[in-house]
Amino acid sequence: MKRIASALLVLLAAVTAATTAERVGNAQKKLPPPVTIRQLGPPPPSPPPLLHPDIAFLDNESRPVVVSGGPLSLMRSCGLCHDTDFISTNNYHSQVGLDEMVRPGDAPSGRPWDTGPGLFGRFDPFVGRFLTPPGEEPLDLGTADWIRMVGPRHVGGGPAFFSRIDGSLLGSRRSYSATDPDGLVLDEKTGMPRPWDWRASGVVELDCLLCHMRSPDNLSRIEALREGRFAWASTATLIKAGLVERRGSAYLWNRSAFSPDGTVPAKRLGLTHALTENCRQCHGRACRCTDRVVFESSRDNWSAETSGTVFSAERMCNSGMNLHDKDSLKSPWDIHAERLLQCASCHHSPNNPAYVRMQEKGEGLLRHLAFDARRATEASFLYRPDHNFVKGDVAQGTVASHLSGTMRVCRDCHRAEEVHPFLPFVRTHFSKLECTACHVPRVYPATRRMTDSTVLTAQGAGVRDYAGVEGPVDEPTSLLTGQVPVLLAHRSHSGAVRFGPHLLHSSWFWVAGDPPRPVRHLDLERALFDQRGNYLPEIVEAFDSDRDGTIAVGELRLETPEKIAAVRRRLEEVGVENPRIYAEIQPFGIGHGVGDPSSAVRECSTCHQRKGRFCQPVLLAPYVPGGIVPDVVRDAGTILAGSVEVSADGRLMLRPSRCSVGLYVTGAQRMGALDGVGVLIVAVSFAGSSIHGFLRIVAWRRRAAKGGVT
Amino acid sequence: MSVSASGKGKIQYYTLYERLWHWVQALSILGLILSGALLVFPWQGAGGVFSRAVASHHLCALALVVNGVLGLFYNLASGLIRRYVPTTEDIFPLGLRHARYYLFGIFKGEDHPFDRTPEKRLLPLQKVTYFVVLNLLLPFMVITGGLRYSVEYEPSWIEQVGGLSVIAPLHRFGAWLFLAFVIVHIYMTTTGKTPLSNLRTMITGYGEHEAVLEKNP
Repeated sequence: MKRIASALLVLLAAVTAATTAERVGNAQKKLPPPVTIRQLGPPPPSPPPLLHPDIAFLDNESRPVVVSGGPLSLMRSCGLCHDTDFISTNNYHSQVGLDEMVRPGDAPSGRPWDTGPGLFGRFDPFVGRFLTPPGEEPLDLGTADWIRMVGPRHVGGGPAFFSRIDGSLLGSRRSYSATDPDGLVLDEKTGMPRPWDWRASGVVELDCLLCHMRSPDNLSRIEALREGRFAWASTATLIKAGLVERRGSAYLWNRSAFSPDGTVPAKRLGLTHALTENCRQCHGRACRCTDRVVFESSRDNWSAETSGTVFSAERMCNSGMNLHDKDSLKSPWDIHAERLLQCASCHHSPNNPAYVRMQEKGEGLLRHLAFDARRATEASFLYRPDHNFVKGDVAQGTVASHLSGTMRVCRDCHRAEEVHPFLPFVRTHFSKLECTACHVPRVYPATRRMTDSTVLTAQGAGVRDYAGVEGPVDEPTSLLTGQVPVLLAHRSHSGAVRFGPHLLHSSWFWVAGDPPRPVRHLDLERALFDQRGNYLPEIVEAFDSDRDGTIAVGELRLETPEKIAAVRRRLEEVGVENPRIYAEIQPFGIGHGVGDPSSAVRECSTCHQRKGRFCQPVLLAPYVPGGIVPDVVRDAGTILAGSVEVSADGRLMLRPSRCSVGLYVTGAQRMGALDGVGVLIVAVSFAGSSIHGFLRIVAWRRRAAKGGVT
Repeated sequence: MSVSASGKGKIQYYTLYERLWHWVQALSILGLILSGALLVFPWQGAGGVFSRAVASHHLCALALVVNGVLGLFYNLASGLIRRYVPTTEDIFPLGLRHARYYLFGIFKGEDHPFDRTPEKRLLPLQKVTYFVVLNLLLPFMVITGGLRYSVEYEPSWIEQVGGLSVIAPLHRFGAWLFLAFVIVHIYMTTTGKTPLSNLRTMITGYGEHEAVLEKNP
């Protein structure tokens, strides 16, 4: 027995010694430098060569543009090697809802006038223009006007190429009826529709260069779109590259920039996969943080103005923005940008073989696979790259909702459990909260909180209110204080409910008729202003509270029955039938803006207390036009945990009536009745014991006085 | 349980294990009430308190449950469990007699109506109270607390009984009842021969025979 015990002890000692030696050895062994995604081995002596071949630029009849002098057709040019038909149709950036159009009122938003979930068909209070459905009058936004107005944020193709009515090429029909929005635009001078000449304008093809060229000339492209020179939009993208120049109204190809065989060197274009810089052209100009720091009401700043997105590697303290307590903001605007991620790193093409996701636990035949090794070859991907990019699942991402939640999410890359040892109930937190709930504790850019389009400022725009800024939003010296986003439950496409940070935008505007349609901006202008652009006397009479003869910004509010009646009367006078105010809340989910880990919320009491984030009242608007309390748009998937109500001082607030919906937050729950009963029981126990004890002492003293006890 | 007379005429009411069991339960319950209070009534600015309270609550709950299971095993194996089971006689008439003493007799300096011995150390009302606390309230708290904890590992369990928004208030209400019990329990320890005699007995294990001693408040 003793021998066996001794042998076991020796064995144990040997194992321990070997393990220790290995550990020490590992510690001393010099580990290789970390392999970065971008670079293997020493840096290359020169930039790696572009693999893309030189490209032949053809017009829409497949003739070289240097020969024909016509506008560039990228469907033809790129179509020599890529399946451009497939790319343009499997592409929600191009379709923007064209392939999801429905009859007015049937759209997921629940608005009676929406005809789709995308940029084309879903009313946007930021734009304030209504895409008139076929057969309806009066015309507000016809297809050509939509291109001129929204086209700067649209990559082309889709509704800028095909008719929503019959799917034919725009302009290919012989004639257009008097109520066909494909063939009409609104004449702002007369307020009447007039025909649009598609033969002169051409159509807007999907502009591959806008996303795949290193420095596309987007401003020239936008200029061509606004001028209605749609066919030349792709051509204009090349002006900065020196391939074409504009003389007067003509676009002239620069033959010297082409190779003798008529092709264009790919190096000159810098053809590549889409970079973040390309995405920024539509999703937010200010995101670069190299521009003048303004947050003017511009659709160019879309992502920043709606959800506060600034996808920049720059540290906030080094930015040009006038941020509150700026020196302490050492975090980058977005750590993923700092760590060299591109937009396409997460929002990649679904069939890009480099981005095959691990299989999630699913159903069906492949549920046993953790990883599917079969994938598209590079050749097949390059021929038919699926441009229905994987996307997140946020309140505002209504287009192509069947793709919602397909993108890489935080936990596809991060092993979150391993870096949250301090967090109790870590799985519960992860199952109930989006990572951004803690990792985006504050949004620093000013964001649009309210758009009141029931009235117009002297400049002809609706009244706007911004959150997170002290002073005028378009004034660079205004202090950006930032804001804490509100945590709201969002029901994802898969049905899962998680709480994540949101910003809320409330809007008020007039609607008219039955079924209701948004009142045209033009009609509101005619109702409020005279021919010279001055407020009409009856409007001044109604709004000028201080009787100084002008309407100040503070007076421009529909807060009294007299003001409402004055505007309604004027709208009726210009032909608007039964005008009334409509109000809604559009939530914007925050999926970007993750800062340095040190900036994340780590203090439990941020949420787990009575005044925590789940219980804080949220200011929605500084006043309530017409007293109309808005409701959330139906397609947002967002659940407002509480009630929207008007406070005593006239502000619109979101008040959590119960701290959450379907979520119990320890420490944040108010249980007044239950705690009241509990306190009563404890108080009775304590009082009973105290009185009993007191009476015992009194009785004992009496007996002691009588000599009964010692 | 062995009962032996002390050198000064005192007798052993509680063995070492019973005293340890009692004080572990007492500390666990105290820790649970305090940490629970920090969880449901947190305050801002107390950095890190909340997460520590969570950890403390879990630790105390673990101690309570393990100690409770060991105590149950001890009482089952030794057959002492019987003394915790009240009879109908313990409620009526003995319970009434017991209650009458606390309501009237104790103020008049009457002798305690029951002769407390190591074998019969639980008095009628005590039996009834402990039966309710140990068989209803404690399991109720353990089950509701366990369900709350199970959220982390098997959320479907608590969903089947209404979710956290049902179980958490029940657990909270049980905590109020426990606090009330603790208050009354501590007060009742002062109703021995002297205000501290029962406490001393629970610390040392030894106490004097109640029926032979003079009354004190």
